[in-house]
Amino acid sequence: MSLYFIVNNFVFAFDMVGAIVFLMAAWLSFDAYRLRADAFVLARAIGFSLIAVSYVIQAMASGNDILSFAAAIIFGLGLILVIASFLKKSDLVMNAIIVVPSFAVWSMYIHAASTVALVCIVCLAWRQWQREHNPTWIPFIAGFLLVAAGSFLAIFTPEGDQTALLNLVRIVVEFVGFVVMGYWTWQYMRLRLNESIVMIAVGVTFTLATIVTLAFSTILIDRVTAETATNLVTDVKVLDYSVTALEGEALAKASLVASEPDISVALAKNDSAALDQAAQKFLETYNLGFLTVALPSGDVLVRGNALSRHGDSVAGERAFEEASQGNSFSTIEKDPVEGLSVRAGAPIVSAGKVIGVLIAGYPLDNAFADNMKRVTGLEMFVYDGDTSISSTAFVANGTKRLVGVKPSDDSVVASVINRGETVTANVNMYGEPFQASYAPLSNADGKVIGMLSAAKYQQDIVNIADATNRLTLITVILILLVLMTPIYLLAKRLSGQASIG
Amino acid sequence: MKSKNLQHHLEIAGFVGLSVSLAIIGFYLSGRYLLPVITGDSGIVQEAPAAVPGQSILGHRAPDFSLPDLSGNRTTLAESYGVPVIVTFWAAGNQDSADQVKILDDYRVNEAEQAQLVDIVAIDSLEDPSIVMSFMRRGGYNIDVLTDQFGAAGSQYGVKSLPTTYFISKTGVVEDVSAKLLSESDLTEKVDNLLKQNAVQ
Repeated sequence: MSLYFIVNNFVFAFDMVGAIVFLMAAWLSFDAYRLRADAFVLARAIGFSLIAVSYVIQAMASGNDILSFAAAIIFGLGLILVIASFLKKSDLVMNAIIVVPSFAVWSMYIHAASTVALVCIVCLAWRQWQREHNPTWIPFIAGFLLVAAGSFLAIFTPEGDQTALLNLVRIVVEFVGFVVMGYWTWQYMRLRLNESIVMIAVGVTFTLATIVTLAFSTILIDRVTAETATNLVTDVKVLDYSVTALEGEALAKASLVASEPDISVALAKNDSAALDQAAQKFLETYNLGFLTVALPSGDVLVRGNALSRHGDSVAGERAFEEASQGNSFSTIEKDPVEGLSVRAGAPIVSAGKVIGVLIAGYPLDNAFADNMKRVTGLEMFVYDGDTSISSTAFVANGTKRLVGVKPSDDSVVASVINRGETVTANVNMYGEPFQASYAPLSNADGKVIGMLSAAKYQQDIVNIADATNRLTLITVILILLVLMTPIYLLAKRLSGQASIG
Repeated sequence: MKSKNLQHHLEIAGFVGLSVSLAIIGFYLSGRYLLPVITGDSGIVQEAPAAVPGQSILGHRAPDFSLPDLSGNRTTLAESYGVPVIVTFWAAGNQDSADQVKILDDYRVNEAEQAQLVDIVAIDSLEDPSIVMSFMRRGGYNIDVLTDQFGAAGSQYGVKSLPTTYFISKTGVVEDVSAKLLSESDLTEKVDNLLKQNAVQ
């Protein structure tokens, strides 16, 4: 499983841990409010609850801008209420936040504001500790300080790049902060075990739900990744077979067109107009990608696919050389006009003599890749050497194909081009993570001249996992609550009987 | 008594005849004038001024054309009046504009709900139909293609680069022009604007 998937799952789990810790803190504050009906204690309870809710929403957001903003706003409100609970007589200042289309644009400012608010809470708690000389505040201060440090690091973390080192450090720092906060809440719970049994039950439910969800999601992603890898290998083989089939098709069609009287008669008479007409006619009727007629010297007389391009030479091309010797032959090679293409050459014979060569075939261009995507449903790439020359995938703005790029993993090129192996790897192209399979593209002599690739956006797999996480979490929580309710009621009844006894 | 009855019957017949005549006239008038007012469709094409040759056709009436498709059947722009039209000029030999065909094809499939409200026409410029057919078959693209082999329609529209896309209202007025490759999201946004403008008209 790639680091991208692992980090995505752990970010979800850490957000849930944060939610559980703050939910417990909210419960404690609410408990305190029941004992001492102070509006500021209630504000703290609501503040912690809002922070807990914001972490749940954040866990579910998975890149959704609306949910990310909702989480940020609720988190901010929660922090304001927690600060207010310390200030008591101070006035509250509520800042309205306008929802804008992209969370990424605003995230830096939101994290900066959160850091300031969190540091504010740390300072106020510090003052409280100095005033009360109560050491139970220490984990509270340390926990919030770590969460503030995490929020500070988030300002400099590139949005969307979950695997960035700074983001990983931020996640660890925040997680340690949650653990310390959890210790703070436990100090109180331990003292009031009986009163807090409901909270413990809820906390355990959430913790178990998170563990189950994380385990389930990890197994699922592992399975999906393995299945995808298998499908990718199959699809890249489909691509390979298609190229092989095109070689056979091009060879058969080149031989047939070369034997057409329209071509041989026009060539024998040196009638350029008739040759142009015949080339275009056969290009269409035989459904070819290109059709070239050349003299035995290699000089091009007509290109049915580019009438203005003639007078150049195809001498030196393998398909031409074989055909000029009287042999029909097909291979994959490059030409200045058609680029890397499946090319078949056939001799044009008149009165038992080779009077010309016909080369026909199919370019391995974007149109070829687009058609293959229709068959497989996956992104398709063709590489000339180690550089992509055709692709179905576009960069983020949707107007430039992913051509002219190399696989980010050098071992791919080493395995496929140098050793002729089929490999599957996680690669990055133009900042987009892909899971991709690569197969060697060989010419008629068996030499590897490029690669064929079938790929899937890793984000597609993560989206499946995120959707599963949401459903699993809700389902597991509901199941646990249903299962725990009779146990809780029984325990309460038994404890009641024990106290009477 | 008998003549009185006959007169009575004639009066009834006259009244019915008059009512039916009025109803027919009413139906005709409502179909001709009232219905379009209610539905917001005037039914009368507001003739926008034709563009001056050599100048931008934006805001002017789109020049009509009669071009063959890949089967040789001729199609005119006027046939699409009543429905907004996207007209893209492209060439299989021009990579960017060939990509526009792929994007239009994807748009037609991925945004089917919106795309069915407009006609999409891709006009291949200055290429032999055999080349266009080969490209369309190899790519498996399924949008309507017309061939402007000698560039007559291209020069009418003042096309200077490929791809160039025109967004034409249901009354035949060029509402928007884009002389660059448009992504699927660009297309969705521009068609959305075109449909809104057409709803107002």
